[in-house]
Amino acid sequence: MKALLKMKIKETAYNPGFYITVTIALVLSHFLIEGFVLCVESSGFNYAATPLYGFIGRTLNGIFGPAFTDRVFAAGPFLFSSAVSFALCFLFLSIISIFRFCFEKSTGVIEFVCCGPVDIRRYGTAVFFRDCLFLGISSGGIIIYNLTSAAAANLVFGPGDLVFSLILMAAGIVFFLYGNLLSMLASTAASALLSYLGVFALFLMVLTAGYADAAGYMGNLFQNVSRFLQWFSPLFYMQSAVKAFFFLRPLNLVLSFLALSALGGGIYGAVRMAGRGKGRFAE
Amino acid sequence: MIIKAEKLSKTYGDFTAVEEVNLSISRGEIYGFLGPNGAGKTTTIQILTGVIPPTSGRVMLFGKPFTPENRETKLRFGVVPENHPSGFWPWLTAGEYLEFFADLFSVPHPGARISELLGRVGLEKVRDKKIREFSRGMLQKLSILRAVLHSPDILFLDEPISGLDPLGIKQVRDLILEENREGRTVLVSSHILSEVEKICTRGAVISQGRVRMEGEMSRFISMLSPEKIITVEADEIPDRFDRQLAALPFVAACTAGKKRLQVTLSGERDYRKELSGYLYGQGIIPVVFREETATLEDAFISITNETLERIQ
Repeated sequence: MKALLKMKIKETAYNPGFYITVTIALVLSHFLIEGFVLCVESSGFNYAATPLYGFIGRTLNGIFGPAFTDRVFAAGPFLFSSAVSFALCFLFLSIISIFRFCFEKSTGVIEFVCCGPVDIRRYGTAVFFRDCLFLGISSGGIIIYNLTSAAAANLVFGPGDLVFSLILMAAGIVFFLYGNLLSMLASTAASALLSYLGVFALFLMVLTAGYADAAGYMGNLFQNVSRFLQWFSPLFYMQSAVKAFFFLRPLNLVLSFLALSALGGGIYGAVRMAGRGKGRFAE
Repeated sequence: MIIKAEKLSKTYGDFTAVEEVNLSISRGEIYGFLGPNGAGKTTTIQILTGVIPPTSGRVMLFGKPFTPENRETKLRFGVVPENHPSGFWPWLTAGEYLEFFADLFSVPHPGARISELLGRVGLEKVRDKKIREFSRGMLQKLSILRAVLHSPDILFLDEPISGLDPLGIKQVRDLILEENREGRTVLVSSHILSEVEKICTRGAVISQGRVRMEGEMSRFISMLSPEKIITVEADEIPDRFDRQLAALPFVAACTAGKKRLQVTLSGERDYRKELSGYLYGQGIIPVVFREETATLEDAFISITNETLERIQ
C-alpha cells in the first residue's frame, strides 16, 4: 500500500488546483483578519464597521442568533478566518478526491491496479491517508499564515486557536471517511458528489437546528430528527469540543474527541464492508 | 490443474453474460480462449482473476479455491485487461509506470528487470516518455510488461495483440512464448485466430456465454471437417473424369477442370493411397497432390454459426 500511497500523494501534488485553493484560502484569511482588526473600536467589537463583517455578522445572527455571533467574534480574529479558509481547502480536497475515485472506478483504473496485491479497500485507505496528509499540509499552511499575521499585526494567536484548528482537522478527517464510503457505494461521480454534499448540508442543518427556536409540529419534528441525526454528524462533536474548550471542560473535550474517533471508526468499518460487497467495482 | 473453472455463471438482471463455463488448464500450457466479441471471454477472465464475483460456480487456482481477498494467490498471476484504462495516471513516464508496479509487487532489483523487459519489446528508448503520448499499441505492450514484471506463474491475457502492428504482434508473441518457456501458464483470449493457432496447443471456443468446445486446437479442426479434400493438378484431365471418380466407393464428391481435380474422400479412413493408385492406373500423373486442411478460422466460424443457428 506504500507504493499506492506514494502515487496518490504525487497525484495531488501534481494538481495545481490544490495550490490555487490554498492560496485563495490564505488570501481570504488575510481579508478576514484585516477586516476583524478594522471592526475593533474603543467601545468593543462592532461588526457593522466593515461591509464584509457586516454581512458575516448579519448572516450568523440570522442563523444562530446574537449570542452565538458574539461568542464567535469574542474568540478573536483567527477563529472565524481559520474556519473559512479550512472549509475551503477541506471542500476542495474532498470533492476532488470523490470525483477522482469515482472516475478511476468507472474507467477501470482501480480494477487495473487491483489485479495485484491491493484491493479496493486498500486503495480507498491510500486515498484516505492522502487526503488526511494534504488536509494537514493545508491546515499547517493556514496556521503558519495566522501566526505570521498575528506577529505582524500585534494580535494574539493563542492555544484556543490552535486547538480549534485541530478540532476542525479531526472533523474534516471523519468527513473524508464519509466521502470514501459514498465513493465506494455510488455508481457515478455525480451521484457520489451530490450525496456527499447532501450529507454535508444535512449535518449543517442539524447543527443550525440546535440554535433555532422550535415552533409548531414541524418545528418539533425537525428538532427530534436532528437530535437523532446529530450522533452521526462530525459537526456535532466538533461543536461539543469547541464548547468544552471555551468553557474549560477538559473531560468533555476528551470525550468529544473520543466520540468523534468512534464515529470515524464506525464509518471506516462501513467502508471496509462496502469494499467487500457491491461497491467493489462498477459492473 | 493450475486453473480450473467449475460451472461459472454471471448474470446481470435478465442478461446472462456467462453460463456454466467449465475450464481446465494444466501447468505450463498456453491456452487459447476463443470467441466473437461479446461472447463472454472478458467476463470469464474477470471472474477468474477476482475482478468480479461469479453469480454461481467456483474458481480453483493452484489447486485451491480462489477468492479475491487471497492476496498471496493474486501475487502469483499477472493480468492484461482488454483495454488499458484511459484515466490511468497519464503524467507517469513508462519507467515510472513500471517502477510503481514493481514497488506494488515488491519486485527484487526492479531497475534491471524493467530495463530488460523494455528492451524485449523495443520500448527502451521511450522509458522517459509520458504514457499520455503513447499509442494504443505501445500502451498494450507496456500493459503486458506490467503483467510479467513480477514473474507470475499464470498470465491472463485478454486480447493482448489487438491494436498492435505486425512487428508489435511478433514481439508480443515472442514475449508470450518466452514467458511460457520459463514455465508460466498462459491463458490468452483473442479473436485473431491465426495468432492463437500459432501459439496455443489447447483452448476453448465460447459463444453466447457458453463454452461450445474445449480441447486440442487440432481437434477443433478435425471435428469441423472429418472428410478429407484432396486437390490434384495434372497436365491433362480427361473429360467426364469427375463422374468416373465419383463412382468409386471411397469418393464422396468430385469436381474436375481441364488440369485440376478436387476430390472429397468419404469416411474417416485415409484413402489417399487408393486415390493416387487409381489416378496412376488411369494414366494421370499428378504434379500436385495436396490435402486441403480447414483452418482454425473455418472451425471457429462453423462452431459459432452453429451455435447461433441453434439459438435462432
